[in-house]
Amino acid sequence: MEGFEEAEILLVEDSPEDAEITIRGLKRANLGNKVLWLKDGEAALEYLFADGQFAGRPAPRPRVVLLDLKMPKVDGLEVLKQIKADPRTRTIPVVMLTTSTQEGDMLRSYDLGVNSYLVKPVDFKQFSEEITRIGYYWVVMNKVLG
Amino acid sequence: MSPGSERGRPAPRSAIERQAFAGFFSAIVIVALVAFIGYASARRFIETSRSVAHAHAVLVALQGIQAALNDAISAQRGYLITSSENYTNDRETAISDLETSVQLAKELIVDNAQQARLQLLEQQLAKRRALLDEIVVLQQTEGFEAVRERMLAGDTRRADSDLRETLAELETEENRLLSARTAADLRAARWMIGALLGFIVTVVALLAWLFNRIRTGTAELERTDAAVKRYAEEVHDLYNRAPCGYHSLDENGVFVNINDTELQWLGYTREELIGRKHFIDLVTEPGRSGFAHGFSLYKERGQTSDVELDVIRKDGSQFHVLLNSTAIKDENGRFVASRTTLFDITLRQQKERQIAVLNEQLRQQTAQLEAANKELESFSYSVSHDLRAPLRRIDGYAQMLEEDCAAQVAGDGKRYIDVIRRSCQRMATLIDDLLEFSKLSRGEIARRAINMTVLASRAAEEALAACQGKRPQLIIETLPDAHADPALIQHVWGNLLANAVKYSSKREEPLVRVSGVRHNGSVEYHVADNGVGFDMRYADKLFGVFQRLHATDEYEGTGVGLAIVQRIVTRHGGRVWARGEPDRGATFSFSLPAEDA
Repeated sequence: MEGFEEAEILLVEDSPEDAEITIRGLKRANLGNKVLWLKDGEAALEYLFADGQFAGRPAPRPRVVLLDLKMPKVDGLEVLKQIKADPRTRTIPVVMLTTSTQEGDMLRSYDLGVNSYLVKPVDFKQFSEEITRIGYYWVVMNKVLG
Repeated sequence: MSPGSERGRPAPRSAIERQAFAGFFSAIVIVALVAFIGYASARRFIETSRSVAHAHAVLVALQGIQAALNDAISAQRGYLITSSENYTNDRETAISDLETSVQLAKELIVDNAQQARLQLLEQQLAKRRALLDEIVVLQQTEGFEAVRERMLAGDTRRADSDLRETLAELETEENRLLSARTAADLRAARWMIGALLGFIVTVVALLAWLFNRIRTGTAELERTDAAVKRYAEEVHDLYNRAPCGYHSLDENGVFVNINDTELQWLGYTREELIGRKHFIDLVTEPGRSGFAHGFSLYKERGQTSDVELDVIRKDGSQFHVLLNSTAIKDENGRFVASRTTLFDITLRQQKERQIAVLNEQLRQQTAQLEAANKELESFSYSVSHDLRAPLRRIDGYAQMLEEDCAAQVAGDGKRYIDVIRRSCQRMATLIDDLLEFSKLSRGEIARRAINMTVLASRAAEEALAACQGKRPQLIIETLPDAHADPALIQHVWGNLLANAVKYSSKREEPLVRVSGVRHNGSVEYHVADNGVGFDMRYADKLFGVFQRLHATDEYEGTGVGLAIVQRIVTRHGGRVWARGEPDRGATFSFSLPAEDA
């Protein structure tokens, strides 16, 4: 994986295959080298808050966090909650990238302040295009602080 | 119990009494009159007899005068002829008789005119007697020849004839008076007889009328009595055979009255209870103090209701009753007796317990159902998440294979990869449709009035937008409103219109027409297309899940759409059906119950 400090996109995804597909899509937008992939929510939180295995490092500020919902240990909603609760990380855009179309999940996510909610389509082409667009939008187009 | 005793005499009775009284009084009056008339007649009759007797006496007296006079004159003549002393005596006797008769006549005659005549008669008699005496003296002094000359002079004859005339007048007048009297009596008698007859007829008529009135009055009374008796019997019957128990207690709580129903419930005979048993003795131990207290309060207040007690039968078994009571009080406000209604609510109690048990069961079942529903929801969620992920990967890696290993997979390899990818897509669609179907089967239906024309138009627009082939001409008529869940019905329209558009898209002039009609108790909607149609033989397969009548390469679809439509419509209480002909189009219809159905 790429260097931590330069990660502009934090991808939190527990399935390596899904991660590969997503990163492939991001590569299409020439964002492949800006991605940090973490396998579970705990690692993601430790990274964002410079804690645990990432202790001692300067706090990162990715331009977007692509977050899966269903993950072992700490799941997506919990990560979202903590990101949005802490003033240090509240302003980081979080995009839910999940298979779940459940209205309940969507509702809870928006309740917790998610910036966008995307459902992964099965069709690879479609997915690829979406990821490309997402990456381009949040990393290139979207303006952030700092 | 007898009704009506407080109400007073019924009307007919007093009317009859009045009439009878009037009639009898009139009859008595008339009888009195008749009696009076009879009495008056009798008196009159006696009077008349007396008058007649009187008149006869007068006539006899007058005749006596005449006779005595004749005797005297005869005796005189005898003496004149014979100069015998015998004739002097006879003459004396005759004159004495004459005086007696005159005296008698004077006593009897009362009429003034007659009295005048009588006075005249007396004068004439005196004159005649004087003449008699004169002649006797003449005989004694001058002898028979002088007498003969004197008598030839005629004044004795004139005196006699005057006397005879006067007597005759007296007699005639007396007779006239008598006949006048009898004539008057006759007239009076006729009047009286007439009046008598009249009164008697009146009395008879009166009595006849009276008899009739009394007869009809008695008949009416009998009818009224019979009716009263009938009502009394009816009330008695109603009381005894009521479906609830009736009883009355006196101020000490002892039975004074009880109906058959309650006796049956209790298992006692009337004799065992009335005047002997206190009601409180039949109440179970726990209820007794409450009853005793309640009873005295009730006697004050005059009524009580909805009292629940357990009552002991004669055989010791118990049953549960509901009691209402009104107190009967006398005019001074003192308690006389209670009038109580008893309902056996043992059954009701049992039923209430059963209901409670059933409710509990229902609660449990509902809880189970809710739990099952929740399980199903989470299951659907898992399916939605867990099944899609591998599919995405299959598709993704197949594509990556194609992109990265283009050289190795050229030709057949590419085709295989296409199949893999298409299959993934299909599976994803199937999963989506299945999930949708399951979701729509479970959710709550929120009914409201919805504008079907608007819903159908919206669905039509989407269907047209998604149309792959030739866009059909789409006509939506004005549709009657429905009472249903708008989101679910939107699905129905979406499916039906998407189908109609899809299956007619290969036509030269594709046409879809939407119509609706309101019936008594339901509303019907029709979506008709001129598309490929279907064989009616397979009509019942149309609405099955995943059932299709056309191959996927002919027409896209998973076969869940119509199953969803049927599910939604059935859950609303409606019906779906379809008619079609191969190559001649099809009409899909559904009905929904009307709002008040």
